[in-house]
Amino acid sequence: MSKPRLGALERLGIIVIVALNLLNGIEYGIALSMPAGNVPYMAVLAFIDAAFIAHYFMHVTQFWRGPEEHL
Amino acid sequence: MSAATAGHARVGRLRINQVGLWLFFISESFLFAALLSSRYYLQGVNRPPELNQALGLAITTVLLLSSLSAYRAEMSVAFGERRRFLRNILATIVLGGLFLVGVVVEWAEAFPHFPPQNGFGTLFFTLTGTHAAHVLSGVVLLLLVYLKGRRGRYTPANYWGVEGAVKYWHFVDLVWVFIYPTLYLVG
Repeated sequence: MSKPRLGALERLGIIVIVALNLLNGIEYGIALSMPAGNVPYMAVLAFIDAAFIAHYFMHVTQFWRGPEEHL
Repeated sequence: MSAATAGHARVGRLRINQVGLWLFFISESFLFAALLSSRYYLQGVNRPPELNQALGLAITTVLLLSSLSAYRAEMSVAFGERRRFLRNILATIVLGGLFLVGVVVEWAEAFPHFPPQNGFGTLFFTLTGTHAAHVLSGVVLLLLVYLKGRRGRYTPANYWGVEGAVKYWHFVDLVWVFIYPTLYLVG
């Protein structure tokens, strides 16, 4: 494994965390601007957040790719 | 045992560990799903105005950031970067501790508004308390990983202990992305 690949993976991690915080901010903004009837938006955003975490951080795809290929 | 057979046995064991961990996550998901659904079933989507929104947002940001350091720790150990791995594990522990301090402050603020006989209070303290217990166990787990890592127990070929603890940490984070809007934002 080479260093450039580690750098690329770390950059990916930063992009994902920026995206997660952005989604979090959008959730917060929706909650403030829409005090009622926001449940569908919250649900969709929460599932997108969860999908990001499961895919990029928890490597859920390793089940069909094999344990040694998750990086 | 030949090297090839030993290699296959190691990959097989890793596979079993990973499947076992995911089964544990699925079983834990049922617990949190039950608690989350009870909020909607018993309280509807009413959002109490007494909740400290800024604090909720702050601790969510802290927990999300801790996932980045946990991810970096796992990547670092996979590439044999021991010092970077230890630094990131330590950062995750600190951020986890900060999250727990935030929860304590949140509880101190919420308690006068939502006493135990209050329906929302029961749900609020049960959900945040159950989640905080998971965060605390994650911090302890990461502390053990840190101590073992300092003794050089993990190598790029064998770091299941790190992977398991970090995955657990991400799971705790994943659960919070549902708890946060459920308690603070829905309306």
